[in-house]
Amino acid sequence: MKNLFFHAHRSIDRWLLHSESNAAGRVGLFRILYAVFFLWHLSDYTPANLHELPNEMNTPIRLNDWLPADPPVWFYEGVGGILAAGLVLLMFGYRTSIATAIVAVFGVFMESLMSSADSELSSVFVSAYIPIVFLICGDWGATWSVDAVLRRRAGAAAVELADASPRFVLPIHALQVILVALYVGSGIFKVLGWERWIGQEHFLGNLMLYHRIEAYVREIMVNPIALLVYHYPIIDLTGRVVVMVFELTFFMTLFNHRLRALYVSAALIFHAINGAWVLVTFTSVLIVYGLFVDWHALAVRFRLNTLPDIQLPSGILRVFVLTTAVVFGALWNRTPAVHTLFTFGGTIDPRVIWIPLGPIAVAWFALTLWRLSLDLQTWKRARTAAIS
Amino acid sequence: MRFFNGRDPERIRLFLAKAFLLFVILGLLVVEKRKGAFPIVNWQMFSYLLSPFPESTTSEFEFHAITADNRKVILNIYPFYPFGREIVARGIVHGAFSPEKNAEQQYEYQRALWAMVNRAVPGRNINEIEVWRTEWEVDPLATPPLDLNNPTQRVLVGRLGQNPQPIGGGR
Repeated sequence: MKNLFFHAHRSIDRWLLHSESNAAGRVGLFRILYAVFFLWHLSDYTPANLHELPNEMNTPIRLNDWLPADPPVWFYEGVGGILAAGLVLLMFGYRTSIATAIVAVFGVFMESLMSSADSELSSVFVSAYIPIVFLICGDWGATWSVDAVLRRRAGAAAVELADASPRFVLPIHALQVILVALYVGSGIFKVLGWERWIGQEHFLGNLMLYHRIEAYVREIMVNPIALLVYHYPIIDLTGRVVVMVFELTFFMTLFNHRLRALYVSAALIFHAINGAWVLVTFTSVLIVYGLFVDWHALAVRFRLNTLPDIQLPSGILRVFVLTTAVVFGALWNRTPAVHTLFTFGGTIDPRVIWIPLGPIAVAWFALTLWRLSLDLQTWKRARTAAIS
Repeated sequence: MRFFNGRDPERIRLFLAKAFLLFVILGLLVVEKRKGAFPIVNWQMFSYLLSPFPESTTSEFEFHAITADNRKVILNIYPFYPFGREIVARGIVHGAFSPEKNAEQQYEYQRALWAMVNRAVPGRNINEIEVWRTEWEVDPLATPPLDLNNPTQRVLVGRLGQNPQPIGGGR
């Protein structure tokens, strides 16, 4: 029994520490993407709007038990402003550890305020898990950052972009485990709620019809398959079974990077369909899937191996970044124009963002399926050769 | 912390990562469907949703913000909160004119309604807000399922003056 425990423990360590391509480079670029994404998410739904809500609309969140019943508006504005400033620092990658701590603390706090009034469960990654995990076990400021530039100027050796040290791979794998737990949990809830999820005839058809009506009222893109799903209950039931099996088997992503890519691309297709056609947006979860993309390899394809050489002296660079962060944070609640920077004047909303991503996810899914089939053929050939 | 003294930083990271994962996974097992334990929250993703056939009518709110210079700005329910969060705005409207709320509760909702509409009409001095409800007959299986240009009724739900007190309206 003791041996089994130690063997399992070592296997878990090996899995958590296994290599990822261009790990150091990819988490550095992911840091920038995350900061911009979170600023976009914050632009669309700023905590200061919550101050106007009646107390009756608040549901208790344990984290906020210490708060007074009706905090003043400057409190909400302060949380949003400090978080925005922290995200700007994170985007530049200056004092990354401190910036990560600011984002982790104020991100969790902000989202807990939002959750009190309007629970949106998909935000748990963007506001809590990602910054917390990188704070406790990651180092996403080592590359593609002002910190990296300043360290090089001080004579420190540059970090290899292909470096797969624990500080670069651990956060990816830890967040993957949490994602697996949430997906499998969702599948288990569907099994436990079998009578509702499977037992209701026309479950998906009715849901799609309901949102189809909403789309007509809103005069936006209408779901083209709602009537088909309703009139053919076998499609409805198949869809529900596929979703349930997909969620229950999401743990397969832990075994193999190719399977991970398959499931992640399928998840993106699922979210895109929900966002575009069923008008159910789970958008803030989008960023976590970015962890599984080798952004550095993509950057290299566009001939971007590293940050361009910044010609500013180190002192001025520091002042510039800090001033930008402080001004941004101060203006966050004062100037709507600051928000519209990220939403392109409100054009990119939590639904529209899925429209271009859907086709990209389909292409990624098809490519991964093709590569998996090649892997299977290679394995079969190797097995045949080994037997003979 | 003495436990970490002299230990390899990478081993410390690994220990902290595993401790955090254990905390989250155990937390997910404990909280089940409860939402108050954020950031430990499960994803139910429609597992317990009831999905009946759509009703034969549908309705939506419309807001008329009358400015100090007597112009009328007409808004639907969608600009106040991000896509998918209109439920918050609808909740505020229901509460603002609901006979089930007492005067103090209604006042809070009306104040929220006033702030919400003001936010969507920046730079304009609003004197009065009218909330209308438009209703349509729906055939969910038809294409289109409703005729937007022919509502079955339009009802004034309520009016608010600058110092939110209802100044009249009907249902």
